[in-house]
Amino acid sequence: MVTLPEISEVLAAHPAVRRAEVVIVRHQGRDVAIAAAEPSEYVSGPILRNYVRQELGEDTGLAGVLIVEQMPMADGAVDVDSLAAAVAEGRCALFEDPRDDVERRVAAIWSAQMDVRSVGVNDDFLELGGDSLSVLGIIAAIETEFGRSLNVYEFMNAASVRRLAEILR
Amino acid sequence: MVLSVRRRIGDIARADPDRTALIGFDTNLVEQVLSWREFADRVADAADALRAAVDDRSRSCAVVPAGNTLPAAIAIAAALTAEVPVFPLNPTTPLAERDALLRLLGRRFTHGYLVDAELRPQRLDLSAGSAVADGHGTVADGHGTVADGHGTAADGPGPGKPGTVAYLLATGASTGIPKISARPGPLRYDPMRTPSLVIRQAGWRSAQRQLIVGPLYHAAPFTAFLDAMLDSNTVVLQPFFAPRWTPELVHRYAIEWLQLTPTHMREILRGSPDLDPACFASLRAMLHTAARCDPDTKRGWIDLLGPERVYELYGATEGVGVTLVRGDEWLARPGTVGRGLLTQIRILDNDGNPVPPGMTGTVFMRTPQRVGRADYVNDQAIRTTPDGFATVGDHGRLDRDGYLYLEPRDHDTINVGGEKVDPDEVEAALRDHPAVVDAVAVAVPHGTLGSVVAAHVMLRPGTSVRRAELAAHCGRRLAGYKIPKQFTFVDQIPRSAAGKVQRWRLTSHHETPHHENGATPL
Repeated sequence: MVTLPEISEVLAAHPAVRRAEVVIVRHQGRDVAIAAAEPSEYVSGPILRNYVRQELGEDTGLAGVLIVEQMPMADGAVDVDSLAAAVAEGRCALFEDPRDDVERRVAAIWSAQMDVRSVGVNDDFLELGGDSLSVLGIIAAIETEFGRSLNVYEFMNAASVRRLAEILR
Repeated sequence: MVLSVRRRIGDIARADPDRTALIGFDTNLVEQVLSWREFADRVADAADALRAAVDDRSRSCAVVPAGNTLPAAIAIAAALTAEVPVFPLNPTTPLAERDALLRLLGRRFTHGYLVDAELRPQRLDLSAGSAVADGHGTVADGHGTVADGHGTAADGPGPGKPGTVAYLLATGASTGIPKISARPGPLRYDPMRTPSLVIRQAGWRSAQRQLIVGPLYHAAPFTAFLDAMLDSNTVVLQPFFAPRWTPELVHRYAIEWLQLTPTHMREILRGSPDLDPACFASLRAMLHTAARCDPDTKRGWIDLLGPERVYELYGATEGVGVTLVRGDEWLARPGTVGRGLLTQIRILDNDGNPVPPGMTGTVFMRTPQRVGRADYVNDQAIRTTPDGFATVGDHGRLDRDGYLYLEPRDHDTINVGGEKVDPDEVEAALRDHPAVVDAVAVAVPHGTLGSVVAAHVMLRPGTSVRRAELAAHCGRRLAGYKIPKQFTFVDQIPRSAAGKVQRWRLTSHHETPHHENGATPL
């Protein structure tokens, strides 16, 4: 089992990260491990989360990475309450596997078109590294697979696998 | 497959040698036509000459006096082919401004080469600028992009070294502080990205016939020309703007795609009140950008072309994000600049918290292009959030369906005793007067109200009108505090060719110091 300090260490070694801390927060009745990362240049939470998965394996238990301008501190320690509040407000995308077949097929299309191994159903398209090329690729693949044509606005409005799957259901 | 400019132009010329690439006019307005084969040959020759003249490509740039002429178009294409960073210069730039621009270039480049109408590179002295030190000498380091989607070394394969520049553009025309933004390079053709998605959504087709009205030294016409060249268009260059000439050129050359500024649009409607819609029968789309368009002009064009052919794009040159709106959407939501295209929009209050739909705040946008966003060569105009949203400082609101509405920029808003006056509204009311050709509303100091509205007015030749009559005219259209309290008649409203008012050129004593020295960046 990977320990929290190991995750912090891996994150802090990422070239775009200045400082990282991993904490356990209470969210919707369960404990989740999330990291807070202070970036030195632009980087997204899902990209850092996938970086940890790539370095330490898929079962680190890290649910999400919150990008912070400055590490929130309280009494000389990381302010866990403020991180828990950020998670509660939905500011940190938590990794979640597809829950049904439509989500699974959409996630597989994203993964193939964007060349990203791990796509959570709540991940934001742009934060996962999507661009104009992958938009067109995904729209074309969805048309083939679901027989439903989408325009760029509909796609960008959805922006996550879960919301896109809702449109397609 | 991603191709170099040299390879792409050569491919088009081989596939379609006799098709027209460029149509221009000489100083006697005699038509000049170049086929794709002729264009490719002349570009290749000029590129070779530039390569031979330049010792160190990474530290040299080409400066092209970029009127809308065939030699200027060839010179720009040649520099991009030679992979020498190119700066299209307004040939009518006053000497002092020109020197300031060259000094800015001198911060980044050791050698400049002027490529004139003869297409012979000549050494330029950029070093004169090193004497000017203003403490903001940070030069863009190659993280740059304009709001378009040419393939670049940054987002596709290519031999470009990090920090290589494709082209440089002067910006900041409405504040008077010259700025230059750098676009990383070298320029590449990528069939999936050239032109960008937003341009393709705005009625663009490969191998179309395009008229370029705005000058090649401005961002929108410049990038439209690059897209045209890489996407095998036939380009007609209108050498200068004459309002009655544009519809005639559209008709004569069966133009399919056209990009205009709101000033062009307004002048064309005024220049030909009885304009025949049949002139535009060939046109698939008219895209307008740059300054904001007043509702009368917008409706005039929607009447002329039908709503499905009128597109408006709002996008900061810096590649922060872009919105697009078609005429039919605009009619349903008058005043909107549309929805984000491949762009997420967030409206934030002064503390950085999101505000609900309908509430005004600062417009932040996020796009995939942020990685290659252009920085200004000489200042930092973009604010960003940790999660990748950025703003150039515009204010606005979103409706529930995600359509963006912009508020006037802070430094343009006139504050009359706490009431905010949008100068656009005052100017539109003045232009509505039959004797008025153009107008600019500005703030002038006032003892008790802080400031009041003053107007610079350009009258139709041979007409005269009393100030009281103009005030009464405004009074029928505007609330009392919005009515100009002073009128100054001028021969010409100083506008950049993109139609933005160059407020710092209004040298009247009315101008507040704030406007006079252009101390506000952006």
